[in-house]
Amino acid sequence: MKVAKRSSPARKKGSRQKPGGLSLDEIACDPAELRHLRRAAEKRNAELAIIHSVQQCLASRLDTQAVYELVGEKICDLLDAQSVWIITFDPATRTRRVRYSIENGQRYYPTEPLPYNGLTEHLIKTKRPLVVNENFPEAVTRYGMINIAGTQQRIKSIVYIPIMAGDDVHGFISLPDFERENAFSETDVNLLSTFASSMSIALENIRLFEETQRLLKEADQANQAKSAFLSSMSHELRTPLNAIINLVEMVARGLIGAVNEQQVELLDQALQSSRHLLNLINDVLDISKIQAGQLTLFVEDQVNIHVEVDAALNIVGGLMKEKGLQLVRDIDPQLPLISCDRRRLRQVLLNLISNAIKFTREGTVTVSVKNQGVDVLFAVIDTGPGIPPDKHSLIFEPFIQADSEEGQVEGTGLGLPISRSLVQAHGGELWVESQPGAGAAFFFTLPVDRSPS
Amino acid sequence: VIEIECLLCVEDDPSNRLVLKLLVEKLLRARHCVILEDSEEFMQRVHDLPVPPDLILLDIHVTPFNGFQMLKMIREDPEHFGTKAVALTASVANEEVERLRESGFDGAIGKPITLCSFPNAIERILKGESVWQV
Repeated sequence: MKVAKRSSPARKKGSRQKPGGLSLDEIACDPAELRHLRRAAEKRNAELAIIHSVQQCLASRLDTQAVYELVGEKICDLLDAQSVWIITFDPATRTRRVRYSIENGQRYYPTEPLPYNGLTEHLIKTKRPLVVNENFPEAVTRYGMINIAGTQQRIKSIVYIPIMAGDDVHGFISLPDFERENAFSETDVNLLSTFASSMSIALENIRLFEETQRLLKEADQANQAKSAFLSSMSHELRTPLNAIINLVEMVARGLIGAVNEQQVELLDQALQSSRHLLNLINDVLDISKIQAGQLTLFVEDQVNIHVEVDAALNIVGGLMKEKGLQLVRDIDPQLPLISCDRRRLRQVLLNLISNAIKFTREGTVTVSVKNQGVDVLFAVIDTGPGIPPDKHSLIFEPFIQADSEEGQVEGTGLGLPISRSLVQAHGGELWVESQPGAGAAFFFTLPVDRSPS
Repeated sequence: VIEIECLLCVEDDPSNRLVLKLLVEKLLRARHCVILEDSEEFMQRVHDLPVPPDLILLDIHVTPFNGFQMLKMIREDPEHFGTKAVALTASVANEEVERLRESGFDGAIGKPITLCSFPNAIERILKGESVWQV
């Protein structure tokens, strides 16, 4: 019955519990013992409650000094300690530093780190609590301690509890008692060890939190740098493309002089490739902005959806005719004007429609727009090979192209992840519904009134 | 075809200067068209034009004064403050375009320029519309 042996603040006032256990009979028969046991149990409950509250408090601390302070104070309260010291070790410099110290309500703030001594080495080696219950001067000699704040001469008993960091000793908590020898029981040591391990967990949490913050910050900086680099790269690439595309187009259109049919064909091919290159540059720039969290929308009010859908269909009309596909327009005549980034809406529509054309050999591509009140539902539906359900999330992952039965897929594979991010930036959603052999349907919604983000 | 009395452009890239020259020549009708390769003594060269320009096309990444600085000089000049000024920019991200709007450009045309919509954009700007074709 350890509980009956528990040393308590009361013992310091002289009411020491006799050692030895109690039998059940004794407990049952002796009302005095029973009262005492009840008190002890209540006390133990109070201790557990304090430990629990300390653990809860520690879980939310993100500053190491706050952890030392909290543990120091609570130990003082709980054990009615005369003095508490919390020391940490720094293996790199082989020094120890006082993190918290109090004696009879008086705080000490030694700032200079002290070199390791025999006690430090002993604790690091054994990783176990050390209790000196008598003859402290002998321990001073044995462990090669030096005097801190002139307290050593007065110490009658002392306990050192290692604070662990993983498998290493990170420091210790010590409680000197200036009045009595044998002031610390096994229960005290266990209780203090519980504090020390709670503290270790809290310190480790802080370390991990800081490490995570640091890594996040580094990743963020790397992303910003990447995005800035790609922005300037995009600028550098557009400058020569401006010359290539426009000079070729002027020649192809006969603005510079007569060109024959074959020449026009070749120049058109060169133009197509240049525009494709431009799209790739745009995709890479977009995805880097999205990943760096730097995507900004240029939102205009009163955007007419009909105009944007027509513009997108105009661009892909030729391609659709070329492949012999039939366009089905299913557009609600009563569409509200919406607030959105027009260029981005057109980009999403173009991406979905050109994907549909790319993957569909024969049949139809349906473009549907429906007014749903709070939002507008867009759909692009094809009669292509469809997408197996296990690929549905993969196709929205940047840098991954789902395998295509249709052979080589043109493009960066960034179109869908970009489109989804663009729609989400508007407060809408983009998703796919498809089964192999049954075509694919891509849907997205745009809110009519874009709530400020 | 739109009639322009005097068009001034600043463009530091030689191939892009050629593109501008041809676009203006083939698609617009400008009595005077001057294309500068840098912004050295910019206002002096503006004042030296035979007639005040009705339209200025400015590349942004130009030295020694960039597009924003040239625009500011124009806007601060009592003789030219109302001149239509359009940014010709290869930096087409939204936040960069936003900067152009805020600094007082009448419009922007992104590079690569789209040949078929270029004359229309210029026409609208000359009519007083603000055009952001990036």
